[in-house]
Amino acid sequence: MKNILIAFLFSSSLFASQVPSSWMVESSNQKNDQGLASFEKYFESVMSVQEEMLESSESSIEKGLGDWKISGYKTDLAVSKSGLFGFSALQGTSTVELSWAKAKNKNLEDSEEQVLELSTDMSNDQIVQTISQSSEFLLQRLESDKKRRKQKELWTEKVLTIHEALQGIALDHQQKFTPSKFRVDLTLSYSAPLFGLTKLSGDARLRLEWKIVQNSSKSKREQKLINNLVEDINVAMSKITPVTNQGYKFDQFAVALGLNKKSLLSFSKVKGGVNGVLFFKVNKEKSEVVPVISNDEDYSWVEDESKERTAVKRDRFRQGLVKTVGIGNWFSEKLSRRQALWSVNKFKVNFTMSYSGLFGLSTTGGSGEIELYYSK
Amino acid sequence: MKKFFILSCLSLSVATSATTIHLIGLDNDGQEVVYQTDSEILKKEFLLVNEQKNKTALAALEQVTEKSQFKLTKFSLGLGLEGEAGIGPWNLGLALKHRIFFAKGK
Repeated sequence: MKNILIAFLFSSSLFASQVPSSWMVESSNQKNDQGLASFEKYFESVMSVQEEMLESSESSIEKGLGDWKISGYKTDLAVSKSGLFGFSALQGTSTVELSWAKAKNKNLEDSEEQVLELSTDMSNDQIVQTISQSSEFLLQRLESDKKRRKQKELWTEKVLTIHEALQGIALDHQQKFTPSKFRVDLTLSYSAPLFGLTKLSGDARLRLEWKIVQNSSKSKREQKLINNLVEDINVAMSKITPVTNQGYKFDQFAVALGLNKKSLLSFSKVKGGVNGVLFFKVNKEKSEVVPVISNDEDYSWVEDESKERTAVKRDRFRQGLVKTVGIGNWFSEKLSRRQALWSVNKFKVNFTMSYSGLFGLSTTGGSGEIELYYSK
Repeated sequence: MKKFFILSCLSLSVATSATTIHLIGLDNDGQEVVYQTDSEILKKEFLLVNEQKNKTALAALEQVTEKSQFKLTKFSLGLGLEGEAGIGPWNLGLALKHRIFFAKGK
């Protein structure tokens, strides 16, 4: 009996299913921080489970499906509020997902989703016209002209506000990381009669992406938050280099933003407004430029009217960014060492920023403010 | 002999123990729920669902879209966590989920 107990303890101590407490924004919920080395074993076992699932699937299923071939596999991994690591199982999403495509389309990826491409140098009229044409197929799902008209007005107003805010971003092409695009999803929940008493209901989405280009107009209101972000990202990234020599390259850096009452882009923590994601592309040939901090103003915001203004020091913010890249590097290194028939092609790591400016892995249900993208 | 037995137990437990895997989600009230399974069960469920469902689903979908101007280009099958409210704690289990991609034919 004693022997069995020893065996059990040894076995369970091999697999610490919690991420290290230093990777969390708030580590107070975490009871058994067993450190990085122990978590690594658990992470390896989670990866092994997936590799085995894929190898078994391919050998046992693909036969007999004609020209349909396995085209990809996607997993959503998550961290609970108490630091437990596992598969994400949010409603409406799959924990693990295997895809098939016709042999000729085998390289189709999830990014094939239709995206409405806009640009910050488009006029307001061009924007209104494009939105009007492209949103029509979504609006048809609403059951009355009145609802369709109202929804269209709402979307147009939001899109124009975002458009004007994005036009205030100053582009400095000497920087290594520059804003490249802004992504917003317009969503619609509908329920309309189909025939008789049957109703058709669901959610539909239209994804918009603005290409950020230099605007000739100087009259646009400067987006100080974005311009400070560009400086901070470039300074932080000069202090830590994402792993690039082990199979994965660091593709993009993204920050979730919203619009505050003054129609300026703000951190998405500010209540209200449209949440979107600003992507920063890596400008490889500009790696020699030394970033300069132009001011030492804090980032500040008011979550809502009942709360006090929150301020985060920019140097602390930069330290947080360095931490996120360190964690991203860890995943990159571990994944690149795996030697299985199926290997991870690309991955994304989401981070949350607390109101006090601390950074940690995003937990279930929380919104990620910083996203790091890696690919092979 | 006793030492050998302990070592055997340790080796056996490492070699055969299925890893505990967590599935982390939210319930209808937005509260976090954690479902615990083991890696062997997860693998078996995934294979079983795929083997049983994908052939019939694909055949049916191709038939439905045969005369349509939209052609089926991609088909995804996955496992998700499904909760069922009831008396006491939530009943949780793995559930089948589909995603279907169409493209307009030329």
